[in-house]
Amino acid sequence: MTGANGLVGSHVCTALVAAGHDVTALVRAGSTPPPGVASARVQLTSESLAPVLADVGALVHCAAVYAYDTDPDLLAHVALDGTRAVMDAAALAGVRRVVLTSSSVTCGSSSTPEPVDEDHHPGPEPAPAYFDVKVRQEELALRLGAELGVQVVVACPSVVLGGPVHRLGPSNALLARYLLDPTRSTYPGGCDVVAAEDVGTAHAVLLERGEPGRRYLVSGTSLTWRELHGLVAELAGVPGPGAEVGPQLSAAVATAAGWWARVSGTGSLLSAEEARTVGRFYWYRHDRLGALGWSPRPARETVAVALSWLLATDHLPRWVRESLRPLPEVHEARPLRPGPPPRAARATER
Amino acid sequence: MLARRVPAAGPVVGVVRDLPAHAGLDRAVALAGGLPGRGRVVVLVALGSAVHVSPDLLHALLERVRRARRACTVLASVPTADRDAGWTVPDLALAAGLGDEVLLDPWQDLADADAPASSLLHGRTLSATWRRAPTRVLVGAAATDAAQGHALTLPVLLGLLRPVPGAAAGDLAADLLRLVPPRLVVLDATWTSHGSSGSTRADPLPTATVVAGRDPVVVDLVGATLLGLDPAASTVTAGCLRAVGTPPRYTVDGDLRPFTGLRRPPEPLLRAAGGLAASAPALARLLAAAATPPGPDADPDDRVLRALRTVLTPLLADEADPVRTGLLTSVHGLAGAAATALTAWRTTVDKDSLARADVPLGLDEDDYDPADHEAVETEVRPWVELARALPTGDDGLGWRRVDGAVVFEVTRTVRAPYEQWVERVDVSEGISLMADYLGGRRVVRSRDEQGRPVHQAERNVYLPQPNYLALSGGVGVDVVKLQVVRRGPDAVALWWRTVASPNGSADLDDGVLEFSRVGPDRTRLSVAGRQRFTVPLLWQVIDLSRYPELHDALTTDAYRQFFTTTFDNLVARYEGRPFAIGRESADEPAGAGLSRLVDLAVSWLGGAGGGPDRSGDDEPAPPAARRAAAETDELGFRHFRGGGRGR
Repeated sequence: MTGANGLVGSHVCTALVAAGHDVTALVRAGSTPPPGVASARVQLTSESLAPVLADVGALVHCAAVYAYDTDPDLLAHVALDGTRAVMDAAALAGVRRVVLTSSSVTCGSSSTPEPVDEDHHPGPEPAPAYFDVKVRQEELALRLGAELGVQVVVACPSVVLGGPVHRLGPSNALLARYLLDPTRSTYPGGCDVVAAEDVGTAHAVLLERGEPGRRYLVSGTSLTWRELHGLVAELAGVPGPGAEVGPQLSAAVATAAGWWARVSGTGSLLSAEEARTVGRFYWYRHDRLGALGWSPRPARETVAVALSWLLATDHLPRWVRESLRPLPEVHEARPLRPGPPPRAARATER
Repeated sequence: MLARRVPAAGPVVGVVRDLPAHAGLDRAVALAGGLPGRGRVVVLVALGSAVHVSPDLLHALLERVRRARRACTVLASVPTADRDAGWTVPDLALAAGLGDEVLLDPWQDLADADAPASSLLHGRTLSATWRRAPTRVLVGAAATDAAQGHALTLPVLLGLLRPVPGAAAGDLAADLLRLVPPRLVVLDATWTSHGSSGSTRADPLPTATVVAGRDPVVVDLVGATLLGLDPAASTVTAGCLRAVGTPPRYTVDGDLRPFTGLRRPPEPLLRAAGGLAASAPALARLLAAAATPPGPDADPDDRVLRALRTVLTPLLADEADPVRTGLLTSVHGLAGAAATALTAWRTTVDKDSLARADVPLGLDEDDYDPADHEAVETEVRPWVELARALPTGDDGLGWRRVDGAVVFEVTRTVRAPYEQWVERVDVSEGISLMADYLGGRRVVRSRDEQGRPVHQAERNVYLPQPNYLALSGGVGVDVVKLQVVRRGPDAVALWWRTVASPNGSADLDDGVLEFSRVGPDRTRLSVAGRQRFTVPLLWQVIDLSRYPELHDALTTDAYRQFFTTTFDNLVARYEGRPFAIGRESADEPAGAGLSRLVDLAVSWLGGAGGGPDRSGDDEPAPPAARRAAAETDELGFRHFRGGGRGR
């Protein structure tokens, strides 16, 4: 699999191992491979990939750049050139099946609070460059699969929440943004949240039972933004949500957030592209995947686990973390990851 | 633990006035019981740009040592402000007229202090020559000081080692007194540098007095009396009085009337400068360096010090001018107020930028034996049982007030197997893992067969609790505890009882931290205890007990926040993540941030520091040329600065 170090990829890797598969993680040079599985350092080119794919039965392609307000050429290069390289290498090596990690945004959105399914496609609504690239990536993978005789199954996760949180991606940033917002404001519209662990399990199911050439929405619970922010507030022990901020004001906030990010040298928590999606309902049904025996955990548990991971990082400043009053279920949401045992350091002694 | 030797008859402090230095020294030392001990004598003398031992007195002392046929080594204690201003021992010796004597720099032979674990000096280095000296003689020079009131003999001890970040000067001096005490102390008051800050700006007044004794604390008490100043105005003297005290009996033989004509630091300046030194030691150190004329080897490119000298030098030029003195007071006062406000801000929203504290243990270990440690659990358990019987909320916190103290228990269950938890989170360190811990010292007094701590004494320094009290003058929590660790197959616990609070911040702070097994893959964390902290004056006046609902809500919120963070810290320790607040104090005049700030201001103001150079040089030499002149010229000759034979 590629992308095993990412939020989704790490859970895919875990789920595949738990399902009894022999997993090799393909990582970039300079990256730390995930623990407990074999690994190989490659570049996303067919020349680099083909040799390591010999005797591989299936490939899960998770590697991606998930970001907004990013160079579209970079997004396209990784998503399209990388996918082409993966498919070419898979075909050369005789890999039977490829599971592609796409995104639910390729199924578009709705202006009303009605979930859509795999047969829905994006309309003329404003969409970030990331959305467009994922649509093109899916189309490319499915076409190449048909041409090259490789089975392609497409997984389309919605907003993936969870950890471990090394880089604060746009999904977990939704929670951080609310906790950092002193006004505790919310937005019109909504999104669908799914636990990273469940997305991993979904990939294992699709690898084994997904129908080639089909897309599968990996969604959890569809919530309005107010419902999601209310859940975050309750679990984190903070007030709100308060007023609803429409698209125009969101755009202004995004501009200010971008300025502050440049001044402070930190990443912006709200991009202009994201602001344009405010007001839409990114709600999805997972009936197709459900028919294969997969089911997601409740949203409350998903958010609690994500919060638990977020609180173990510096993505929230100390003074914000200390101002929260998380419920016990947040603290108990995730199993702790033990660090190395300390060396025997004796305290000072008489 | 080192004991202080007390002569059976009580020491005598001799005060000799109106005699030449030679005769005065002889008589004062004779009154104090003569030159003590046998073998080599190591003399530590005050040597600063403004204040130094007089050549006549030092020569008289060395002659006395030589007459006794004893070898002698002289160490020069250089004030930090002088080192920061670029002065070296050879330069100072030359300037002081001591160029014909060999004066050694204590910083050139630093070695492990070999201090007990309870001491600030543990793990640090100090002058090996002084440490190993058979007989130590301390010679200070009399001066006033803007921040401390006076600088006599005790501050001279601080020159034996490099500045200790985060440590109070009084604590350091007290530990030096315990570890490497002098056996003879001489205060050279043949001249007294007086005025607003005689310790940094020489303004000599002939006072023709020599004081000699066995105990530097008593000698400084006498010296402060002669200067007409409160001895405890100096935090160094106050710290030594508190931690070491004076001999139970002593005699002062001589005239104790204050010197006439001596100008003392004005009280407002004393308060302002003292407040700045307490609230912002790094900034105070920078201002002291700026108030000190630069040494010959000072960095000519130091724009920070040059800019500050441009401001300070005119204010120090004429002490008779009340306007200048008022402005000087204002500079210190404003800087201190800004520093206090900055600290309050950092306490609430930027804890990682606070300087960590380094403190001695704060109790005499000989006063407590193993039975005292064993008794801790017995004494604290009734309150813990009461706390555990309280109803708890969903957040695991339960509490109530008993006689003004808060009795509480708070718990959290974590998804970590018990064995893995106790392997990674040592309960004996538990107090230092709690929220807002700024520093402290833990001394293990006994261990079990597996080498694990059983009896401990610990001193802990925390931020004000709740943190917002810092905005209204709240001080941090500073407590000293006796502890005992209990270990069983399914639980470990650290019990503690507070026996002292050096800053009076706590009446009661007793409790227990426990880790216990819950099934195969969970561990329960709990803290229970009884606490009563001192409330800042503003809140005493408000008296929240008159508003019980508000009081209870604030108390609940404070405990919930503190222990949420504490449990988060324990989890971070388990997972191997950083969590501690604060930073190690940088051992430099002001730290990079402050230097950048001043540098920015200088640039913005168009190089205000580049105005007339009042450092004493006729012309500021181009930096490169000045450096080149100190090194190699165009003919290849290397030039060394001459004068004195000090190393």
